[in-house]
Amino acid sequence: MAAISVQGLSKRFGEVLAVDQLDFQIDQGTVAGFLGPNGAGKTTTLRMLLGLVAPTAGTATIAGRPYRELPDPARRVGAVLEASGFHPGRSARDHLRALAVAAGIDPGRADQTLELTGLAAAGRRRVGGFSLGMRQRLGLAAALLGDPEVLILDEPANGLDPEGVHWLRGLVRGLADQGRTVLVSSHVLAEVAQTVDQVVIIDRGRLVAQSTLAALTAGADRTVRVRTPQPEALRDLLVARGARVTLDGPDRLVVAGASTEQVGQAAAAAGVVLHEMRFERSNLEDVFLELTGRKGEHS
Amino acid sequence: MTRLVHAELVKLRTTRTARALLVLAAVGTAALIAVVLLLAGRPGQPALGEDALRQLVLVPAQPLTLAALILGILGMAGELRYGTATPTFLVTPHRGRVVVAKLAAAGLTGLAMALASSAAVLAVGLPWLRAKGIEVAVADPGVAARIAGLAVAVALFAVAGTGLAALLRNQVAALVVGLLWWSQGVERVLAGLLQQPGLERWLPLGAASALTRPGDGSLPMWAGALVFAAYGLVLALLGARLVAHRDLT
Ligand SMILES: Nc1ncnc2c1ncn2[C@@H]1O[C@H](COP(=O)(O)OP(=O)(O)OP(=O)(O)O)[C@@H](O)[C@H]1O
Ligand SMILES: [Mg+2]
Repeated sequence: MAAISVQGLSKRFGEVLAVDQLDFQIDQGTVAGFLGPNGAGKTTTLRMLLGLVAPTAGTATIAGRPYRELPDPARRVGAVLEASGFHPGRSARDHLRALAVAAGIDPGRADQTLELTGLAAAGRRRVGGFSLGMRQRLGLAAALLGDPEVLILDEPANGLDPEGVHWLRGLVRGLADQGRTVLVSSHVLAEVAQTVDQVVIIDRGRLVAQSTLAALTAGADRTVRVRTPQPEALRDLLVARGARVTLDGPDRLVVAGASTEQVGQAAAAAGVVLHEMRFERSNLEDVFLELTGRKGEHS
Repeated sequence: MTRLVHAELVKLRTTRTARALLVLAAVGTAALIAVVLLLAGRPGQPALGEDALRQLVLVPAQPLTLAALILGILGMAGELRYGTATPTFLVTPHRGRVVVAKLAAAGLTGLAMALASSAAVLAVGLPWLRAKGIEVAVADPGVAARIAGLAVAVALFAVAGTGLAALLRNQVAALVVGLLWWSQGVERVLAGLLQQPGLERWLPLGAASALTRPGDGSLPMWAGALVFAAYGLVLALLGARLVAHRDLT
């Protein structure tokens, strides 16, 4: 049985269809990246998965049950969400202890998770004085309180410095090595590329791709970069041959869907002068932008 | 359920507000009582008689009910304001139970505030009255009834504040509405508009005054307690329903 399963899931906020008939499954023991540009519906999907937002249609289950019907949810699922907060006047340790008491977990576990997230020294300080990165760590500490099998992390790298991001990767990898299932969202593929086995990509509330990371890179389009004094002429030639071409400055083109040989032949046949041509394996970020149809858009 | 109430008490205990209010209830009351005793018998002030304790116990009633109302509002609205509702509801997805636990924790804290205050009244008042040669009966059932009534009233104000905040879901709005209502203006105007002066004692605050100012044209203490509790319960249930069904985004 899939650890996480989303079926026909939709959510409408008034005019906005935030999530649109989304389907995906995450197997037990998998680390999956949940990707999409800003506003794609990642947070909304995760909140529905966690019973915080009611779906307009469809179902979202963890271990086969809706979150609200899980017995002892804090011991099964740990979550870090955006906009989940802390009382500024309460210490980190007291925040965790209150949650532990409510969950029926030994309050001593609070100190262990503070240790795990590198907050041991700051545990007795009031959260009001915490930096963004420290709050993110405290969110993770809360998620780990119940030693859960499934972790759902919404942009956990937000606010972390490079060292913190490195630390987070290690933490997620460690959790995965213990056989836990992790679903981690991000709007930057590169951020999770080193940690995930699988990716689920959504855009405008819809599923764009679900595949292993390896398959995604293999299927990546290769691009050819060309410098020419006749960019429009070459673009029209290549487009006529089925390539996808974007202008990149006054004398530059980026060509997808054609090899260097094909570009050279097309240019020679029409007498177009080339100043430079370079083959480029598109990186993951390009794949991502390509898939979400946002290539060339600036957000 | 007890562990949820315990968790809510831990939350209250670990911020300054509740601790400060509890200390204030005792210290503030002691100061207030000292002032009243100092002024007693001066021109324009009532003299102290054998029923002095009955009066003294209820001297801090107004500030206490206000403090309890604010405590209830802050406890519930803070959860939504600071976004702690998310981790709270992740741990306990049955939100209705969280609200019930919050009502209970607020009520218990209100109770503690009232009892701390009454203890301060006795601690300051008894030796003072004795020193003045005024004989007061400590075992006066009227005193005990007023202490109990005050405790119930203060607890219910904390419950009402919690329910109000759950219903309005906004701290500032809840504080403004709560204060307006507490200042009694709303009920007086309502009774005036309807030209039903007798109606006031059946309204929430009027019913509560059966406990905080017994006699005075109000309902009997037990009836006031029941009516006020009923209002508080309805408010709390409506608030709990709303919190349970809202999307938490
Ligand atoms: N409570 C709400 N009321 C109205 N619209 C909402 C609400 N919450 C989210 N939305 C809308 O739903 C869409 C998806 O938002 P969501 O926060 O799920 O995206 P996201 O993928 O998490 O984006 P980001 O990367 O910026 O965090 C957006 O258009 C957003 O404006
Ligand atoms: Mg988001």
